[in-house]
Amino acid sequence: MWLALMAFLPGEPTAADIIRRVDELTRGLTQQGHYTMVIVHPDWERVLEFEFWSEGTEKSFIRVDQPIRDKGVSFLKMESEMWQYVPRINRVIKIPPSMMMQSWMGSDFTNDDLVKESSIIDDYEHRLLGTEPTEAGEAWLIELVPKPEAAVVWGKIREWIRKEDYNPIKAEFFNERDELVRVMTYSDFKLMHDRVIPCKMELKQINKPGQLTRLIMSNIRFDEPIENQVFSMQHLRSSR
Amino acid sequence: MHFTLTLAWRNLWRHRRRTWITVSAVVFALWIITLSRSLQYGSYNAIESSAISLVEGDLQIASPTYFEDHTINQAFALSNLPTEALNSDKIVQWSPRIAGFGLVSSDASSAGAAIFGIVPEKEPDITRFAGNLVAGEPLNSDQPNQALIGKTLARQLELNIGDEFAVITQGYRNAMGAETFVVSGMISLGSPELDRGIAVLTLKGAQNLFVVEDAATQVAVKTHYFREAETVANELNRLLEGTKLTARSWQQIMPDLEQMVAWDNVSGAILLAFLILVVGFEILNTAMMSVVERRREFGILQAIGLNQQQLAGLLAIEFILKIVLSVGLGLFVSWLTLTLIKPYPLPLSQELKDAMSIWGELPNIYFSTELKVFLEPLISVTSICLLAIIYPVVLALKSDLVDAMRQG
Repeated sequence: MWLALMAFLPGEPTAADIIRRVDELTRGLTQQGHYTMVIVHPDWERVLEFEFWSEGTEKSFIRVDQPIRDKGVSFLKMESEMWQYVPRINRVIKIPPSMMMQSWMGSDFTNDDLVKESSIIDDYEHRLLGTEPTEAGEAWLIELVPKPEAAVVWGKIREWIRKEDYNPIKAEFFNERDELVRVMTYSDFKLMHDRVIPCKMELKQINKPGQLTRLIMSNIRFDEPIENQVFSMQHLRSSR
Repeated sequence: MHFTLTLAWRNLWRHRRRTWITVSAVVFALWIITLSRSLQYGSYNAIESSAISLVEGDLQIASPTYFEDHTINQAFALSNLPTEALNSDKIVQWSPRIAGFGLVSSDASSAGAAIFGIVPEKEPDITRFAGNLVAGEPLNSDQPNQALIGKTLARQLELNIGDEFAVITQGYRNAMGAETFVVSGMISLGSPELDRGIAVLTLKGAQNLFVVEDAATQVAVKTHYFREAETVANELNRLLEGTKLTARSWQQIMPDLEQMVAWDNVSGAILLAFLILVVGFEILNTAMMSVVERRREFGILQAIGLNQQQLAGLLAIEFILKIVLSVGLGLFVSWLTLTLIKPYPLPLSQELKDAMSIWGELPNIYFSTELKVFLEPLISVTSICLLAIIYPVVLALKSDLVDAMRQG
């Protein structure tokens, strides 16, 4: 009797539910907008600005606006393939799978991070480790372990999710030897278009002290239809 | 003393057969050990000098951080290079270059590759990698858009001489580097792994690609003899003080090469140690025999006035004479053999050549006649022989000789 009743009570969501909600919130069905990326080194900084379009996990398009030297450099991702267009040499180059973990435009992000080849929902087993208080509020701590057949480079990911609004707070990425490799911190939670999301992300690689990449979102719009033409080779080639 | 020596010498030849057995055992062991050391050192010389001259050079000058972080961000301005330090008579040639990594892309396909920018007029004096052309023309500093690529990479990207390809990379301070180049020639470094992942540009071409002005990541240096690289590097470092640059020898640049050689050397030495041990037991055995068999003789010697110490001394001198004779003869035979076979290279199996191919094509191996080739067997064999005779001499000292004579 009690057991049957409890099933109807609003209890703790499962880890998989939480991750799905986070993904829906931060990715949306579609997303388009302007990003600023700051690559911080001990001796110098480099600022990139780019426009971003994405539809689900399958399609995305990036076009660099700043610096002037790299203006028009564009990336197209369709399903599991990725191409880059470089106006300087007027060429479209297919990025081989072996380069997916290489740095994207000299930042701490990899090509894979930007175009999300692996799915945080389908490629991982999720486990709720508990609840922890954080500066940004009470959070769930979830452990993501890749499924055996998934093509994922991480050994495990630990992610802190704010209970209040399903926003990510922090993610720790571990390699297969269970060593912490990098830490992503989310901050500046504010209203962006129709939802509150973290508008600033900072990615630090553990083996590169003094170095980080900051990603700042501005003017993002969610769930608005994007013309199919955006995700095409023609668009890639015409990005000047 | 002179009398004892004469007696000992005469005793040796009273047991002619026993003496020759011992001597030939030691000579043979010494010969095998010396030849095997000579071969080992000869092959190390060949492998090391070949590996060093393939890409890295005897020593390199670069920013100290470059050796930990091989990226273009560690490049230095060539105007900071104290050229007077490099114009020393210890240095045969030096040449600035850029080493990096990039995505090489043709219309057909793309692949990651090591990218080098070299001074084509100087680099061949230091390393071989850019010189082994299998097709096309070498680079020329006046044509910075020309490039050489590994022959396997060329096939993979379906590139022919005169075709254009693009390189995309991360330039200085993470700027995006992208340039197109024309295939001027194809090179082969002796192994498919290396030929699959290399493109060579001119220094100027690489500077354009990596978005640097008049800078290099390293200066490769050729010395008169690669074993002197460490000394030359140390001298250079004194001259480089205060320049934000440092020199490192090939041992520091390629520690894995040194480790491989050291490991092989130890495994070879262990094998030879067993042989030396066998020689030691052989000596022990014949020495024991000459003590036990000659008890009666010793008894008589004692009876005519020799005390035990004198007797033991006589025995020791006998043994030492035998050792000196064997080792001397052994060294002579080894030296003679090596002198005769030294001019001829060793034929090597294809298997071994393939196993070594990560350091490029294996050169001819010659037997080495360095001093240590003779010194190591000399010291080890002599010490084990001296060790082996201790017990028999002690035994002679202890035995009751009057009793021995009665028994005999």
